Amino acid sequence: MVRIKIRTNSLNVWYGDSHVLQDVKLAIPEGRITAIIGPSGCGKTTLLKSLNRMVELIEGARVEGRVLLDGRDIYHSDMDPAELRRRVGMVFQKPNPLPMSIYDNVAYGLRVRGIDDRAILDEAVEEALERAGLWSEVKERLRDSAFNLSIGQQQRLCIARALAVGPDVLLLDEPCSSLDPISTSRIESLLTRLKNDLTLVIVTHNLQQAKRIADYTAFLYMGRLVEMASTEEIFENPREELTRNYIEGRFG
Amino acid sequence: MRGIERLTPYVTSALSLIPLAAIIALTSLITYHGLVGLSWRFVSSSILRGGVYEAVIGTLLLFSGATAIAAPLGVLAAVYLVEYAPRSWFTELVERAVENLAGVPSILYGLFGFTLFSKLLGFGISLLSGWLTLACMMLPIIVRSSQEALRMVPKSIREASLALGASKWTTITRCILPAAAPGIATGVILGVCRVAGETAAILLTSCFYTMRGLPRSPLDPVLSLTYYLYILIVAKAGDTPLEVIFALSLLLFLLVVALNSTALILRFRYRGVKRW
Repeated sequence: MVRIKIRTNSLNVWYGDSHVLQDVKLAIPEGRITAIIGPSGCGKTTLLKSLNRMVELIEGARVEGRVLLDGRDIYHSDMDPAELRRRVGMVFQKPNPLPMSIYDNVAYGLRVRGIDDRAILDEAVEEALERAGLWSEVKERLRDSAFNLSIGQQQRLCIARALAVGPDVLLLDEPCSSLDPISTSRIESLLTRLKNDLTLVIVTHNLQQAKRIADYTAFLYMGRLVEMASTEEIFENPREELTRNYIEGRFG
Repeated sequence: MRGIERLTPYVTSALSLIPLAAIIALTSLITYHGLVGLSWRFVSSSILRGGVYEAVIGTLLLFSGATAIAAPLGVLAAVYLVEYAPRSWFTELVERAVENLAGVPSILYGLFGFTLFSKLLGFGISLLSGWLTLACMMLPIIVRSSQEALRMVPKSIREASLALGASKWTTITRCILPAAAPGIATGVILGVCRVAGETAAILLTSCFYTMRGLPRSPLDPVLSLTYYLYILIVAKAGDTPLEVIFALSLLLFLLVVALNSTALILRFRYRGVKRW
């Protein structure tokens, strides 16, 4: 029986008057990859962003309900969002390196916590780049601007940067949507390796990707969680008619 | 109607030559007459010996001091308006006010500075009153262009930093301000351009015709290129050889052109470098 890392309870999100997430009850197992699938505009990204309170940065957003990380409500007033985001990292749809060097990108999360010791940073940067499978490609040019990397490398840099902070959970918002097939398969095998010591949640448009790498899949439709089960069940034998129609490509 | 249609391109292109012609005429007039009298000696010797040294130093003192006051204030105000202020009628009002302030005639700033700084606060006719008055003139320009530069920084950079556990303030100081720095610098230089050629505002707040030598403290009056030029033209008309007046004009002209070009170059490089 797997342990549950994140649990949401009657999670509701509004943007102004539009009710984008409705009563979502979700359990994310620890040390596994959970995929969130569903048609565009169904609230996948909102759901992901409500797991590390990035949703609060969207103007007019209002969150109700509970999100428990290891049993602790992340929306409780004693939870510092910065601290939360160190534990629950995030990788975005479009690679977004900071306008600085490769090294500084990876060291950023540690530096903002006040870690300035050169030796510690060097080690952490190497380890994070190594885990993201980028070290051998960039070790000779750590001082180069991150923008000189290819798009696929930039996305792995963003993963390395998130790993350097030492999170328990990594949220990925369609991380491969702007990448070519080779970069995509690199990232997929990287994610499969990472689940040994991380909990991963990935939003994806690509059903084949969910099938290839996810242990569990959640299907979201018009702001509601239709069903969540093991990926095999969702793809082979879904409980809901709606899920089956989506999987079979009748709408999307 | 047909005729107008056909004539439009010719008429508009002819009209567009007018500003160009004006610039060429102005530049060549000032250069032609000014080059005769402009020399290193002219720039570096005292007013008492026929030079403009005190006015050069005075101008530099005036705009660098005003910049030192206005730049940090303006950037912080822009950071507040862009990053912190909730969108409300109040911030809307502040922004409109800032925009309108940029267009207020400088003599009004002069009058304001004289009333508030020279009289009410008792700073007298001094470098300090000039700094504060010029800072007020620069502020709207700096605030407005810093706001623009900050808004140009893509949301993805903010998200990246916040998602790594940085606080909002850290995100601003470590990511957003550095990314916006070239745009902010351009705005500051444009602000300097506005006040480097300023006459009316300092005429009322910081200059004395009888001032000789350099100010020894911020509470001393000061001379500036613009003010000295004004004096030579108006008060000492007839006493001053024309080449001195034009040499002084050319010097002032070169200073403002140099500042404007710096702003242009910065903006141009900023566009080239940015790649998010």
